[in-house]
Amino acid sequence: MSDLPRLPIYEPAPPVRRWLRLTNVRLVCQAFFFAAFILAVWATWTSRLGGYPVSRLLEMDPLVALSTVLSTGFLYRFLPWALVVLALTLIFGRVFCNWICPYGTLHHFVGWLFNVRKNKERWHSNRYRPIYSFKYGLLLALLILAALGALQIGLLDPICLMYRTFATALAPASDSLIDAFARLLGRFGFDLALLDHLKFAPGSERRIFSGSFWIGSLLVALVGMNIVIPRFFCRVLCPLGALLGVTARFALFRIDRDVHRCTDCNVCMSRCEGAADPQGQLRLSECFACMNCLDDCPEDALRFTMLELDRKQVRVNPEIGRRQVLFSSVLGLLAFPFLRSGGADDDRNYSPALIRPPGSVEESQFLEKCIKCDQCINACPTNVLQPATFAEAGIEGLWTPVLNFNIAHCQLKCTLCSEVCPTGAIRRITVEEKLGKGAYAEQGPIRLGTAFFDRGRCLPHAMEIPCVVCEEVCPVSPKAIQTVDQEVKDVFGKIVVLNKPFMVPDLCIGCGICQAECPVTDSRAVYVTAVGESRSPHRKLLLQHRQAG
Amino acid sequence: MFNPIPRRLVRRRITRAEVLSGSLVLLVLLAIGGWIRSRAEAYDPADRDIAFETLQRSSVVDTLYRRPLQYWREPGTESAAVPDLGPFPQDLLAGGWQLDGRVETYTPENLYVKINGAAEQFLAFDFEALTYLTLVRGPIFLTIELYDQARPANALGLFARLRNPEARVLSSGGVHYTPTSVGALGMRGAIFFRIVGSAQRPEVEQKTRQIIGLLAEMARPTAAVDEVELFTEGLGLPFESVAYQKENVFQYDFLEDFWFASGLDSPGAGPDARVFFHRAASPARARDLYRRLLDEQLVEYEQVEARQAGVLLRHRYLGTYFALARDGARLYGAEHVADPAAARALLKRMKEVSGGH
Amino acid sequence: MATRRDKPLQHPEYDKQPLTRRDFARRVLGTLGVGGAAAYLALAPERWPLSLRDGSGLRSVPTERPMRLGDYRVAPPSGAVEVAVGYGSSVAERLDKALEAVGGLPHYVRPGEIVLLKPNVAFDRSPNLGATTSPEIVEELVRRLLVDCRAQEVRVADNPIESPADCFAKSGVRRAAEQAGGRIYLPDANAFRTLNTPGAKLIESWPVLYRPLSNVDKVIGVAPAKDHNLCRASLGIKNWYGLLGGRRNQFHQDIHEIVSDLALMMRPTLTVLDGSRVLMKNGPTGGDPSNVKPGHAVVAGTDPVAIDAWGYRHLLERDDGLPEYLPKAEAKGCGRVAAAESVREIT
Repeated sequence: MSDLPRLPIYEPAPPVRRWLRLTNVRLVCQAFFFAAFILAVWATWTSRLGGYPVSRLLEMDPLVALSTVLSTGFLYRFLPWALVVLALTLIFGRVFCNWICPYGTLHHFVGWLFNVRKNKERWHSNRYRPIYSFKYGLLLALLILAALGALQIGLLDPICLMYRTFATALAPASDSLIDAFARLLGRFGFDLALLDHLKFAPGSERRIFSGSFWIGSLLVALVGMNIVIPRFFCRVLCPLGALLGVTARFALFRIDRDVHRCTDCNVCMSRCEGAADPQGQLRLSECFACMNCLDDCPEDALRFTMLELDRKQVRVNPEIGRRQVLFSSVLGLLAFPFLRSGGADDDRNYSPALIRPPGSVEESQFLEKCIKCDQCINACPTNVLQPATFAEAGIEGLWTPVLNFNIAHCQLKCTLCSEVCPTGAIRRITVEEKLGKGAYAEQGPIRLGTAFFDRGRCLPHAMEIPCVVCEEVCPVSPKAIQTVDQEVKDVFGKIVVLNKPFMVPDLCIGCGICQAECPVTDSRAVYVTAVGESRSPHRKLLLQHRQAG
Repeated sequence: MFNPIPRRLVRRRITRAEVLSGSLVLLVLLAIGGWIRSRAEAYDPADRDIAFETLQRSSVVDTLYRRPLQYWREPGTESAAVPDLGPFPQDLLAGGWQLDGRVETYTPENLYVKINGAAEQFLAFDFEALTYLTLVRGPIFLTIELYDQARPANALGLFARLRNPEARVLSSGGVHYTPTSVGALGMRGAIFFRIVGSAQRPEVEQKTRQIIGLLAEMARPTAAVDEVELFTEGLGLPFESVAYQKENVFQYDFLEDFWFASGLDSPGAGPDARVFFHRAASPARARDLYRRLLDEQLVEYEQVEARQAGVLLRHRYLGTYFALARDGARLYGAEHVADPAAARALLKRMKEVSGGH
Repeated sequence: MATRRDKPLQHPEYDKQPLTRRDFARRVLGTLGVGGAAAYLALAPERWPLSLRDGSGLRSVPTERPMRLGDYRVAPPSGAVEVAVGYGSSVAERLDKALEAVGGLPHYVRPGEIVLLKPNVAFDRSPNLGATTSPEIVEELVRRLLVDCRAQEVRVADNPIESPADCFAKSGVRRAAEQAGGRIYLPDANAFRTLNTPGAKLIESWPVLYRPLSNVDKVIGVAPAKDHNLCRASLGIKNWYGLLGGRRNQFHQDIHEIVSDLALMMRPTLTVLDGSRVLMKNGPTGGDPSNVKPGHAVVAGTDPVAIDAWGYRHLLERDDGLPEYLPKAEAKGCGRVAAAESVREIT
């Protein structure tokens, strides 16, 4: 026993150093960015927006930047911010995943909270599995799809997914819980105003989002998978992680194992978030740089460093076979025509309900740009913007924003959706441009569609009952809904004046307030369809807009 | 249920570099936090609105054509070519004039809808119905209002109140009116009417004259005898000489609702002579009034003669004559007559003209 | 074979549970107790206490106990008129003149009272388009209520057609009210309750914006004068439309009835009609500067019907009779049209 070499013995590190060790700093950083993300969702509301960069996490996402560059050839507005994350990755590896990404933080937290495995099982659960290379194939297929013009990264990009889920599922859920709580408190005479600050959409009645169930369920399912496989989403599915993993091969810093110190005890695997095999050859593309292994090494054999790296103890490239690459490429190439054969971007068979927010670019370009983050939906003060279902936008347009005028209308002097859109699917517009005033007088207002009357359901037209709410609320001046005033004797022998409304399509901007306010509430007597939308020259309705005089 | 294993730190070596870089990260986070905070500028509504000046510059004048209200027409009762002109004949539309809208009628219940504020004075004179219509010809229009005031006395009262006292009253076929610059106002029987054009134009003047002519030709809207015509047509007196006294006639509180006419041209009547006329509710009531009036008058008058044609009284001090007669429910007579023969003649003429009705 | 059974057939730790008489009785009683209670709850006639029975299916239909609004009216002091119009170059001046003639604001609002100020911010429009109550008059009123009358709290509330947060922000009313010390109440999910208005034809029972109205002592309506195609004008009484919730757009089937019902529903302390920017046509939304006519009058008073009648004739400058809702409101005892004749005008 005594002739074995003595291990160097260090004094335990002083408390200040323990407090400021990297794992602690990482936790602070994760909490900070998670809070920043919640702040971003919270501030994406008309009365709070101010100058908050509420979409910056999306704009920093290198996958968003890369895929939109592939699909459009250009980088929109704030997308160069992706360089920050790119630079971080090139220096430190996939730090984004475990230091910044709010979705990663969510998985990390839930995975930690519900982890009831014993130590041995933990090592096993954090061992690399071949399935973890699935994300690279997925990334490849998505990028090929993007290059062809169908941007689908948003389905699984963690930042998009997180924003979307919060906007359409968690925020309304939280708001209605707060409302119920407030109702309860109000019964005991408490003032409810303070709770308004906790709400994501204060000052509005209950917001509704179609398909919220599926969006919320996807999140719950993916987060729930952490119990089966820790960090399931991050390790198996995350296309952004895959992109960063590929980039991380050039990273300056990495975990380095001192093979002379290492006793192959495998304790470093007990909390390895990325399943990066720190106990053997480090899989650089999988390592999240969570620094847990540093803390767990009883031999101080692990370092996070750029100096004196052991070239043999690392595997820089992701483990992805040529066959997988081939399959993914073929899949990506096939998926494009499959998605498009339904004619979502076609001008012949498009859905009349496919009404895009003001400022949206023409549909095929829209599909090249929209990442389904649903920030626009979150920002919409009237709740008219909805995540599209298959019915309106087909498979390709799932969860892209569409306007549902049965719920509300597009507010005349609001351009918030265009302000928060990170990719320019909804181009940044001003109210002036939206209304076609001033410098934009020549091109006229932005038209979302055209309103039509269903005269078989309209009260004055079909039933000789006075109404014309639609005319009253029509916001353009002069009004796009005019009336033919007629006196009739109804079946009860009473003479009534009917103001029978009709559309002046030349003036209609398709804001949908007529539909939203129509009292025939199930199937509206006045409704807006996409035809005549000004974003597309091929979906015009009128040859020219008539003028008086 | 939750993670049973506490977080632990096994390693002992924590380098200075690690601590420094950790602190650096925290500083960077602090800086990012500060930056986010600085971006939370107050929301200025004008930031996301359109400048008012821009709106003003690209203001659109509303020049849309709006179809006029289409009125209800009972099917089968009339053809579209012949509009319903209410009491008027189709001649009303002569000269290229057209009915604008349709003939509207108002009752005391909804008169304020039409002439809010001024309704009170019509209601004070027993207003019964208003017939209102507008004629148009090109840019000019002309409104006709016929107020049915139930009795000529009311119409006369209204007319007296509303007309310009300086203006001369013209009479034509039972219609009495004063022309105004853009029309006329006047009365016929129990009807008070007002014609107002939109401009001082010869067409308006001409149309007004034609409408007055039509009013004269039209059947009397109410069946009651027109007392005004009795004097103007019967006795040939000017309209201005006709007067009406609602109550306290001859200072007697039991006498109400008497018509007078002065300015008699008969010889010997004198400048102050007036004829009067009253229609009682019944012959019995007339007889009663006749007797009471005679009794009261005998305080100041002495009876000169009493015949079938009537009684003749002479004032004890002034020496003027007062003649009174009764015919069925009608009372009539003359006062302040200078000469008894003239008084008898007036009584006779009054009998002729009033009995004619 | 018998030799094989060297171990007892049952596990030695097997624990028999004998059923004693006491146990049996306890179980029977327990069963009877729980079963009896359940049977009582399920079968007892509806009027019995704790009965859950609902034979007709109607008991389970939720009913909300409707609330009633108070009568917030205060008679003008002797020597003051019911309705007055103030003319002047500034909003403050007009307001002062009009309020002075009706007896002064402190006559109507006592110290320590809670006041609801109801502007019309129905649309997301900038103030100079005339579609909303101008922020200047809101600020002036809030300040006077807090400073001159020493009101405890001044609430400013409306249920706009467009996004409430935007409407309040863009109309400038939020900033004006908050600068002067007022508090904004937005219509959120908890803000509505069913209101019972006896005598009203269409809204005898209807959800209204209740939160700002709870515990309120006085209510003041401050409305812009606007054109309205169907109702002909949107003035002081139509302003109360903004308190309604529910599917209020069906009221256009009988607009004059509903507006006269509103006069019955809300008996305000004061009605202020702001004639600073009159929306002459294309109402009630407006949107073009050419629709707005600048004015120099503020009408204030206790007779909402007279105020509307005066406003219709003099602010909107119409002489085609009055909107039908005014005589209807008069018939419901909410004011007098004829009082519009005796409005005192102070220049």
